Amino acid sequence: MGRESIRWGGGLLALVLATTACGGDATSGDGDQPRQGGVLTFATDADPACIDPHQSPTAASQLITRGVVDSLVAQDPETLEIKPWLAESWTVSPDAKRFTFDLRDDVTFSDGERFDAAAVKENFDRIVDPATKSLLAAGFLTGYAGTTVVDPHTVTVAFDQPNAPFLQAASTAFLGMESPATFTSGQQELCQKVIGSGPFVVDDYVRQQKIELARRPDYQWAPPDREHTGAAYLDRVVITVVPENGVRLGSLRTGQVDAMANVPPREADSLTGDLRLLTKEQPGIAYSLVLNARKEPWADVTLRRAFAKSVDTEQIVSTVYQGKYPRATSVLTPATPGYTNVLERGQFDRAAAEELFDQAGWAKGPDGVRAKDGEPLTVEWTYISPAREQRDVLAQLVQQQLREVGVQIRLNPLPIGDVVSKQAKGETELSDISFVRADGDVLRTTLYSPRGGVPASVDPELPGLLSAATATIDPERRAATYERAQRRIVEQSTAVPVYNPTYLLGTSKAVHDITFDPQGLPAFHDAWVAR
Amino acid sequence: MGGSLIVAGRGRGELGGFVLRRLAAVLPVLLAALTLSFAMIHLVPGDPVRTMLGAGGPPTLEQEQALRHELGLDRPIPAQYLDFLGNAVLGDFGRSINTGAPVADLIGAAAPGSAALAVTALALGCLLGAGGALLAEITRWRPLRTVLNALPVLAMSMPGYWVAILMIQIFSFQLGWFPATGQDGFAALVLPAATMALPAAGVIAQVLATGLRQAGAESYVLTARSKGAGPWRVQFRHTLRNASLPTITVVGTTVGNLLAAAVVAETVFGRQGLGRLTVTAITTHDLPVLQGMVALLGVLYVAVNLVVDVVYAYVDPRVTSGRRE
Repeated sequence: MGRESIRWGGGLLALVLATTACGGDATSGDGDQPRQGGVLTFATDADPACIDPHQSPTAASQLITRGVVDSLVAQDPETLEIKPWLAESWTVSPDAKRFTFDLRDDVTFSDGERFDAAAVKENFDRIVDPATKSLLAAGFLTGYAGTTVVDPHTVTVAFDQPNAPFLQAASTAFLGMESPATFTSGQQELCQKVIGSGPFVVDDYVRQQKIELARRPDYQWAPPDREHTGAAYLDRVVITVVPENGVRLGSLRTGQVDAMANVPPREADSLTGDLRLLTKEQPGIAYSLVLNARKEPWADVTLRRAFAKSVDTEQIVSTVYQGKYPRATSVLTPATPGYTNVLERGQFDRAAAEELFDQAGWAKGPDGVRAKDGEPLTVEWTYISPAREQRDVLAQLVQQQLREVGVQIRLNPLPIGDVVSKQAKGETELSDISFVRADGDVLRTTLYSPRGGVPASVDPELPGLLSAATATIDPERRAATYERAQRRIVEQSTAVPVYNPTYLLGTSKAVHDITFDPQGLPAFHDAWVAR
Repeated sequence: MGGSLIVAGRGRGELGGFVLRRLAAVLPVLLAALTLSFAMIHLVPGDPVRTMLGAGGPPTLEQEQALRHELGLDRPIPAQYLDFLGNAVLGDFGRSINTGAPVADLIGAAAPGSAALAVTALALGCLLGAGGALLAEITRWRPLRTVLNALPVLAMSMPGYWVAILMIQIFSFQLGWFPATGQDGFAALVLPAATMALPAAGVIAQVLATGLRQAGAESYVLTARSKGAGPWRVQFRHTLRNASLPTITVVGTTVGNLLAAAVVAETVFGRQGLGRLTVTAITTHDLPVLQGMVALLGVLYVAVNLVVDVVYAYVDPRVTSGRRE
């Protein structure tokens, strides 16, 4: 009866019941011991389209496949250290070109195939094959020279050029191990069903609607950061796709689902009583504004600095995100190895910005707009529409902030494909980016790359720094190099860090031990439900 | 009696010829739809291949060339056009860029959900619309009549998105009668179908009510009334057939509008369907899927018009003979 009332009644009734009737047994009644069995229903906001991590770069597909495919190594979500997983140990050549893995010999894929050195080779060979149309994974294997099977349990992956970040990349699902027996079935078949050696198997995938994962009973090889190494506790995880924020939230409130992805920040504080909020800052590139320093007039570093000082990031995170996403303190987020706090006190300083604009020769006219030689100071901001995380609202706020110092921003929302196409041709003036990856190498792959998406930095020092960091396996030297790179990017104001993307997960109290993987996505291996 | 049988027989033959003539007129429309969807890939600003590969970061040159070749975009445009038409006739629109699956498979997977939704919505819309209009004409109780006459305008003017959220709030979150999302069983179909049915019901009710009122003023109705026929008998035996002619046209138009309504309903209610397939294809620039959808819409448009014409001709035989002269 009490439970029903909570389900049906309004906030006050629920609150009273929760604090009186259920308050005491929140810990003792549910018990602390994981319970075997049950189904967890999880409402997410985006359809993965293709769930094969070798092909798809999306977080939506990562959410599904992280529990389905295992990786050679694991990254500890807390310390970010690389730990054993399907490989018991490994050695790296000093030039960071050769990686030799000693593999476990007790691992099988869920279709019964054995996991061995030949399987590793077939996986990596498949990822770099252009026919796979890998949109991200192949990028992690840049310079791939081939994989050698030394013996059934020893394998060497070799590169033409140093690739120190490969080890971290090998811990992601993008380079996860799939059963080679499935590779002949074709790319689109694999988009629909992926066979791995993970604690879950894909049982059903109805596009745009739901994905059902089923427990694999004989799973015994979880990485050391998990609470337990055996089979998952849950019998099934049913992930439904519910794009509408309000409907997802209402479904959680009324018990139609047990957990929901991406709680809107303004609703985060309303998850009280029978509900709770779990948060995890994601690693990688902080959400940043990127000025194209190759385009006039923004080639002038003084102008870029003035722009950076005009953006009040504190106001953005407090008004648009209700303080639920932290203000960025570097172009990398704190959850990224190699992160350095460059912007502790922030860089917003309107007076200094106005001074710098004047210094650069752009004086304010009677209409409040800055101009030089009769040309008004305008910049076009190309961003992805429909925007996630209210980035369209953010854009309008930044537009307003810049108007106050005399800069006109023209907003140009476009579909994702058009935005990336424009960036690739170097046609954007101002754009924005965030990118999830738990390694400092994300700076090289996203902000500086020969065929890069976002305008490459004009800073002559940066390319050298970033490639030097891929050539050493010494973590201290890598960290020092990335620190220098982060400082340069902020000093040169080619990127203006704004906020640290944060996963907001809403769950009912019956759900326990959903953990976050190093990418900041929910993982279900340790999860269990009490009911 | 015998005479009327002969008339009916001749009418059926005329109907057959009528259908054939209408079918012939369909071909240019389909060709136009296909040409339009072919032109789409070349008229969209920017390089379609770059655009398609965009989602995951910078593509390699090899990937770009592979996709360009796979799409046949490295060949002369006339050759591309003829190939496209040939494949389209066979129902082959290539593969989705977003999912890698054949476009025909994606449409095939999404269509049943949308069809179930559309059919339920249409049936519910006709039932509510026709029922409301008839009740408004038949009832002698003024307040009910006033309310029934005002409802259609209200139903038509409410934004679909808002109706959907309201439906979920009341019937799922508050009352718990139906699931908010998903598509397991009939229960999950009720709320999205009702959301889509409301505006349709409004239009149908309005048009039918107008038709009923006009037919009610005709002399044969007065004759029937003077012979002592009650209001129910007058409506069902005499006015409904005449009044339904414009309504049939409106129902046809409504089918066309259902896809637009499905975009909202399928998104809010988290369902697999053609509406969402189309929207996703638009936002991700999945041009092969869009081409397939444009072609499918062309076929649907033509088919619905054909059905409307045939039903029209069946209800009013003057239509076939009239066109023949």
